Parts: sequence; structure tokens; C-alpha cells
Amino acid sequence: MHERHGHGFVLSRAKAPRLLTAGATLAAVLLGAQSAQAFHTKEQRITDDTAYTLRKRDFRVGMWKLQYGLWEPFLLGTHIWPWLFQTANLHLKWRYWQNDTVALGLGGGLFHVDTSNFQKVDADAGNAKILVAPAELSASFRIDDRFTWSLVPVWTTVIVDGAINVEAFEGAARGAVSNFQLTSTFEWRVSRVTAFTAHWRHLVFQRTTLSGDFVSHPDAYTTIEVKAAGLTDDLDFKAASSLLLSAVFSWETFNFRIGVGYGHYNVPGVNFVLGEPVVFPDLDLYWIF
Amino acid sequence: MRDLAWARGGLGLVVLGCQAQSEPVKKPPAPDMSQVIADYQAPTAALDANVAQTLWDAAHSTVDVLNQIGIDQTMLDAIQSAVDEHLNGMQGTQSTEGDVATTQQSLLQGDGYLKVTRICNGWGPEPVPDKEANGFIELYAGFTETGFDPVIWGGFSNCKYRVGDTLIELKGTDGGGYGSFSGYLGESVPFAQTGLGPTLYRFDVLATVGDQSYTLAADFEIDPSTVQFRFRVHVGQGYFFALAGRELVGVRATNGDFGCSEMSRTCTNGTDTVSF
Repeated sequence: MHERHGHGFVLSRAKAPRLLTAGATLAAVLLGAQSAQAFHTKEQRITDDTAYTLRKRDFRVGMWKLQYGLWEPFLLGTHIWPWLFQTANLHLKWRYWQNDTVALGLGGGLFHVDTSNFQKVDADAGNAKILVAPAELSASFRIDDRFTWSLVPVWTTVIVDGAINVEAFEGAARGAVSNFQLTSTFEWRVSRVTAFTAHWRHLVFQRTTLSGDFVSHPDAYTTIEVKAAGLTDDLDFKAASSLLLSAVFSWETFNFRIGVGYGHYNVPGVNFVLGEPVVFPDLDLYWIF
Repeated sequence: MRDLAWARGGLGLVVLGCQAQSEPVKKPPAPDMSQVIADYQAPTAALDANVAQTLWDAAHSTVDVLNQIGIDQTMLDAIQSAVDEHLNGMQGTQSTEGDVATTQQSLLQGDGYLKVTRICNGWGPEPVPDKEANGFIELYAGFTETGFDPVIWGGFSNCKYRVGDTLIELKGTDGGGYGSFSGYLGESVPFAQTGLGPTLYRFDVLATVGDQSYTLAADFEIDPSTVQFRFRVHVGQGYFFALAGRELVGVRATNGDFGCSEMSRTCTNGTDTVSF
């Protein structure tokens, strides 16, 4: 499972090798093309899965997200593609404290998903309205100029109103329950252009947060009414973790990230966790102005 | 210090979020079956020639009624509906409606209860799902994350159906419409095993079989694997257990386990034979 990039890319194992080959080739080319200008600087840091934010009035536009630095330690952003399915979403992060080695941040977001809007791409999407609200506390430790370690615990509240087929969205709907995840990102700056990251994510537990009623009619003679409060801990996804290895290249305004991960994929933004481990890519292009 | 306070505040927000929990569901209380469960642990009377006729009479009256009304299949159908619903829910079946629902899968892995209502087939040559005309069976079953609660319960509301050519109606013993039952499934039975092992029932029902009416205020155990009933036969101050399918096949008494043959009208435990 992995937040951040590769939105919508959940690959089968069969597809993964081709993408791996292509990714490795591209990475090799880019590694060889060292730029004279480097922007992995003390001031400009990787903001995904860390406590760091954009600088004041910085604008990030990329394949997956738009973000804006409202003021120095505060960014506001949105995931782009969900809007195609009328899924309003917003996230923010506030780096509320920093010294030479440590940065602390608070983040949060809100997604409003109407699964009926996804029926064009998944007929089993159901008709649920899902409110997703992730909240995170982030801490980044700059060990030296080359190494930074970030720890981000994330609690995601999921409230579902309506019926949802748990097998919808390639099984991601099965993970549409509130959950607590712990992420750890280790960054190694090889040069001023190139950095490598290792991102580990672990689902500590998941549980639903609302009681509910539903009625089913298995046949014409039988009616079954259920009154329940889901209090399930992580029953399905024991030891659900993922590891993502990526390379991040940064030039004057352009940034490029590529990598590959394996494990229980995490749907970015909403933090729904896939029940089965998969190989997944990490790909992002973004500009910071 | 101010920085430390901010850090603590941030941590507090995350912890607060983690503590958000759902309200527990108030399950309706299950009937107390502790006494009958205890009674079925062991017999308290011996089988001998003095009580042979009592055994014969009791076995036939009870077994005949239970078989005539097809109670084993009636109860198993209701329980199976509950089990199927749970298992289907875990597999992601979407058949829900309601006011506020979370995912069916998650709910059924949580804590709560379900109520199964089955419309009875009626007396016509073909079953008809007509609740008003044919009555219904209600079954309540609480559950947790690990399985159904030990005791299920419910009742029969003017439930009309037929077994072969025999017309049956189950209703309250007071002449009212609702005859009650409770069942003990066992402790810590996983969902997938529910209904597969012996279930101990307590019935308080008026059963009409054709033009005969019987008050079925009794307890008995149904073992679906052997399609046998186990029920108490009261003699004097104590009781022993009779085992029967279509006919009497055994007795468990304080003086041992007997195998019985209706053809030879005997029950035998080694060299000890009781004739009736």
C-alpha cells in the first residue's frame, strides 16, 4: 500500500515486468544526464510523505496533484483525477515547527466520493456516498545533508452512507473503512539532482466508525434485517504493508519521480488498502513554480 | 516550551482521531437457557423394566410430533438463511437497503444482531410467499466478530405449511398467534460451523397437525449430522435421554448407553437388556 503516486495504477504481476524494464531504462538515462542545476536543496525538499511544505506562493502542478504554498509553512492542494468523477477533495499540511534537523507537521484532507459516479468504469461501484477524512502528524529528521528520515502516522476516518459492493474498484472498496497507518520514508540524496527514497507503509488496524442497518431479501420468502456496528480490527489484511523504492529527480522547476513498490497498495488520498499484495509503479511528473 | 506544547497538541489531535469509535449496538436480550443447557449435560435416572413403558410412550409421542411437523428442516432453513447472509456478506454480496449503512462486509464482521423473517409456505399445493395468509417464522441471532452468540430465539406466527399431504400450523400455546422457541448453538462456534453441530431447542408452541393439536412445550436437541433428536424422558424425579430418528434408536441413562430396536422392542447395554 502506498499513498502518493501511481493513482489508478494497480498492476497485476504479469504487467509489472514490462513497466519495470521501461522504468529502469528511463531511470538510467536520467541518472546519466546530470544537470548543472540542482534543486534538492535545503530549502526545497520533497514534500510527499514528509513534514515539509512548499515555500510561500510556490505552485506545484503535476500528473496527480495541484498544490499551492499559501504561506511559508502551509500548503493547500487537491488530487486532480477524482474531479473527473465529481469527487471533491482537498488536502492541507501545516509544518508548524522546524529547526535545523527536525520538522513537525500536521496534515488533513477531505474526500467526498459518490460511488455511483464511478459506474461508468466499474458497474459494481454501488451507490454509496463516502466521506473520507485523513489526518496525519508528520515528523522529518534531517540526519545530515544526504539523509532524511520521515515518520508519518495517518488516521483516516471513513463514513459510508448507502450500499457499496466490497469487491468494487479492484477490491479497493473492501478497504473502505477507517484505518490507522504508519509510514516511514527514508531519503538519500545522491546528488543535487538525484535522490532515492524508500517508503514503507503499514496498516496498523482498521475499523468502521458508524453503526448501520440494512435489509436483504435473499429470496421471496426471506427478509434479513441487520443491526450492527462494525468494530472489526484488521481481520482481512493481516500484516498489510508495502515498500516502495523510488528515484526523485529535480531540476530548476521540473521534478520527476519513478519507482516500483510491492505490497498492499494504498489508494492515494482516501487510504483504502487493497486486500492482496501487488506490484505497483510509482510515477509522477510535476513542476514547481 | 511553546514548541513542545505544539508538538503535544499535534499528537493529541491524532490520538483523538484514533479514539473515534462507533456506538455499541444494543442487542435484544436472549432467553436464559442456562438451566436446560445444564440439564442436558447428563441423565439423572436409570433405565430399567419399571420405566420401559414410559420410555416407549414418550418416545413415540415426541418423535411422532417432531417428525410430522418437520421441525428439523424448518429450523435448519431459518438458521441457514442467517449463516448464508453472513457468509455472503463477507464475500461482498450487495443486496442492501436501509437508512444508514456501512459496508455489509464490515458490519457482519462487527458486533450486532440480525433478524430473519421467513414467510411460511402455506397449505396450497405450491408454496406462496404470502405473509398474511401463511404466517411466518422469526429468528433473532446476535453475533460478534468471531461468530454467532450461543443462544438464538424467535417464534412462529400462525405459520402454515405442509409436509407431504399433512397440513401443519405452528402458533402460540395460549391460542394466540405467536409460539416461541430458543436454541443453543454452542459456545464459540465459528460462522461457517453454525448449524452443523447439535443444537438444543426449547419450544413453547401449539402444533396443529391435520385435525390434531399438540402442545409442544418441550426441549430437545437436533443433530443435523445424524438427523436424530435427543430429548428427555421424565421418570419419577429424574430423567434420561432418548435418541431417535424416525424411531427410537438409543437411550442414555445413569446406568449406561443403550442401543434400542423397535423391531425387537428392546434396549440393550452389553448384557443388560430392557424390554418394552
